[in-house]
Amino acid sequence: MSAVLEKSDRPRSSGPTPTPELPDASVLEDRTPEWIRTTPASALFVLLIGVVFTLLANRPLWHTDLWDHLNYGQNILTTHTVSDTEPLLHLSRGVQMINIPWLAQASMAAVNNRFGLTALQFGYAALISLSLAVIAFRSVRMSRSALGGILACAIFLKVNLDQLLVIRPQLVGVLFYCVVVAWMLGRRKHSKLSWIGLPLMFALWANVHGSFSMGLMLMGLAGIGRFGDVLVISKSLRVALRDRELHRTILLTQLCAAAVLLNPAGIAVYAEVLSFAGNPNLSSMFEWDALTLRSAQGQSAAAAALLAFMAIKLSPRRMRCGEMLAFVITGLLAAWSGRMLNWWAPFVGIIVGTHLIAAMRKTVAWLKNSEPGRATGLWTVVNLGLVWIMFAFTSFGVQMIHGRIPDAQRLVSTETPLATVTFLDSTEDLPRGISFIPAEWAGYVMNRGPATVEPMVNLHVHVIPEQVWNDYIRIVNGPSDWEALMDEYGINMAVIDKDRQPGLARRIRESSDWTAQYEDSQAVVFFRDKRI
Amino acid sequence: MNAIRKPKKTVSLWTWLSVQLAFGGAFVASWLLLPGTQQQEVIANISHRPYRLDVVLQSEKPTSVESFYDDADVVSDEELAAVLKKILPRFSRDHLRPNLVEHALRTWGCQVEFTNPDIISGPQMQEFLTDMSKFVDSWGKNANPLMIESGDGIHVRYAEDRSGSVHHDHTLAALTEAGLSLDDSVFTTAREMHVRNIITEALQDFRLDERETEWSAMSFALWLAPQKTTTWHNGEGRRLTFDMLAERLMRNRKRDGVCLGTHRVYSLLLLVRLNDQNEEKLISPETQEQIMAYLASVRDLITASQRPDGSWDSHWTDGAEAAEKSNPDEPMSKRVIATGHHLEWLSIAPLELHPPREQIQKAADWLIANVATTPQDEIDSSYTFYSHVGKALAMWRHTSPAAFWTQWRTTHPDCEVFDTPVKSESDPAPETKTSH
Repeated sequence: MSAVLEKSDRPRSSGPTPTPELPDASVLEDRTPEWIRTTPASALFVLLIGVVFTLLANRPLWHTDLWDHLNYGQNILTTHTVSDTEPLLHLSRGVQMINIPWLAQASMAAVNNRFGLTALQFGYAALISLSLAVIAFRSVRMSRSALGGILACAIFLKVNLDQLLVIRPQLVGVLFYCVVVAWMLGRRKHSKLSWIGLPLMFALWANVHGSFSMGLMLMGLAGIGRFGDVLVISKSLRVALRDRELHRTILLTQLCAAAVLLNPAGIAVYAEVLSFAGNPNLSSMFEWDALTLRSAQGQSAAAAALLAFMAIKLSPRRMRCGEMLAFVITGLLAAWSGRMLNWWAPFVGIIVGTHLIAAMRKTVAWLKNSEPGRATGLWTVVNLGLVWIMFAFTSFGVQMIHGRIPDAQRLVSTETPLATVTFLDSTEDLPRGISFIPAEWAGYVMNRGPATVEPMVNLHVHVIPEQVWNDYIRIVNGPSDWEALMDEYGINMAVIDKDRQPGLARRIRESSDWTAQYEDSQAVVFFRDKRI
Repeated sequence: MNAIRKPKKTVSLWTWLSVQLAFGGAFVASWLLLPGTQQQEVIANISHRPYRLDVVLQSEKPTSVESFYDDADVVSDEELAAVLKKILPRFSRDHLRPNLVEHALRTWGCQVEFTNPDIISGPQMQEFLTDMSKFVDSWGKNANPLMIESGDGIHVRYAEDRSGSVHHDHTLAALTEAGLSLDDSVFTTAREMHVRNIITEALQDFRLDERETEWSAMSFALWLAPQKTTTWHNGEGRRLTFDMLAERLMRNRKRDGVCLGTHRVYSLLLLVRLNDQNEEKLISPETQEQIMAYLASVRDLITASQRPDGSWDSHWTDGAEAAEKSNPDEPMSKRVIATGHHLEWLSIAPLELHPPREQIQKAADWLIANVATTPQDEIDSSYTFYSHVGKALAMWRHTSPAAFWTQWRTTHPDCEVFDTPVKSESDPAPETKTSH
């Protein structure tokens, strides 16, 4: 930024001036380039999103998913290969694996190797914050109100909170998806930036998460929506079919679909995303269950849907065909599986933010002035200052600035079996072969525990043979034949989550063939007395 | 004159064609760049059909593994003949259980002919298993056929009821050991197919983690080893190797396998022998080493656990502790199973995997005496166990039951004459998975 004090036009007084006048700030000319200037509203969003960012960047990393992804990423870094079969689990050897998020995994592992877990916290928070920023940007543009943006972000966060708590490559997908949502709801869909940026983004997306398919679906809906809008207005099929924007949307979608092919598995990623949801092992994963009003996220979604319907009903804004289609289709997907809330939440946030403000604007006086605050370089300085302050308050910021790394207990969730892994590390003569370890802990044990420990399963359930996964699920619940199942896999060591597997813990305690070797408030570790 | 540039109303044809070319070309190129296995996986995923088998069966007939020994001290001709006479396949044709026929077929082979019409000859046994009209003759029109057409393969019904086979791929193993060829006909109720269709289906529907893999491993090895095929993909697209099969067989407790854990020993030994016969390309040296260590531990266990009378019981895996753990009330059939099966694998095992020869002789003596003193109807009701005894003893004379019997019959023309007629279907001992 550069700002200079201009010379005053007033003539100099020759008389005595006992008190010198201060320079008149109003005559300062903003010499910052136009493109860098920001509005007061932007500072508000930087502050609000920054608070969310700071909170998330100091939040302990959730123990599921993360460690498995780090393990696969580390394997890629070590072997310089993206394996086409499952490379880590003994019981999954030979199982075909289209590892779509390979780049995200390798990046996570590389970042972890270079900077440690604080950098992962930072990245996690940054991805969510950027998603919020994109949603805010589009909502503010559509509603011409900062309040609309705040509403949209709040609803997105509330509806999608459960999905956002876990650090995983999907977060990159959520960010990219929000970009496509913003593109879809915007007016200038076919700028140069779109033609270049979107295909590049999809090429990257196909290497970090399978949700690129949702992005392509949105682009398809944008085309259908455009066709519907023109048809409704023109009442002419010919005009609708010859619409230039429709054609350009189709072509852009095709380019993005082709860009997806730039990944190690090529066209196979399409088959993978199409068949993924049909994997029988997913039926035992609660996060893939249908939404229900008995769950908190189901209640949030229902409330958001009601609010959205109310806002649409009261709003003078016309809802565009594509917007409606996307809202309904992603909503149905979310009802079918809670995991799909990721793809509905941006829509419901923006729709409520936009239409509610439009509805309120008819009656609320202070909303009628939709003129944005003037963009100045000063606000940019404020924003940069805020960003720096927020950064300094993160664990990663502290590490970078002061060189202090928080204790491991503060970096990972309390459910992470830190003490158990310390025990395993300190134990000589650990039983060899397959071990029973909760799938949620397997990744951490493999990452931080002894290399000789081979968990039966991990949370990449789609690459675990169905029989193995079914047997694992059966053992978890402590059935009467638990021991026969343990025998079947030659399991000599069992790590039990005392909270989640009390039945199994009781069964093993009752057995005369197993002895508890370690126990704390979280876990108990049993060894088989006479090893197989 | 300043011409006002009108905005374009349509996308030019050139742009359309360029993008379509890029789009189509990208997909075609991406498809062509995929390895064949991944192409198959894509097709399978999209069509929701099993992964197409990537093995071309070349060997017209399966290979076999012969016994190393011809030891008359273990069993004499007369003793062998006496044992074999008791396990001649004299079954009622009514509700004939496939499990009985499978055991008889693997013991006697598909070529053997008997002079007594009450005894089912090799071709008849083969016909019963591979021609569903014969099967229906036995079980009635309402029965489910044993072999069911399944696309390009033949699914063998198992573990359902008495009219089905008992174990997965047991029928295939029996047909394989009996020496059927790839192009031998199999008549399902729908159409004529071939033995190769049974094999392809078995290779596709095999799952590494299913409970019983002994017969699958054995059958696959006997068909694939000669053509040096060591890896294939099953219907789920999982890449399988004989190393993985071997490890699966050794994964759990020794006692937990079928027939008191003895079948897996046989299958493992078969892998080692076939590896030796095929330039050591079937399994890796590490796996070979693991199997040999496993078999050596089995040797030590049976050396330590043999009962004073020469038999082994279900506690053979307890080694020296077997005596104190043995249940005196355990059915005799368990001892027949353990002892018969152990002698069978020992006949194809190298000497380094043998217990002292006198222990083998004692085991054989116990079996011979047991067969001699057990009434024929009891043997008939436990035919599956005793068939292993006959086969094992014949192998210890480096022959097969059929070859020996055919030769024996030339000098003993009355050897197929029986005092009692064939009993009608009344099998008192229903078979289960554990009872084999």
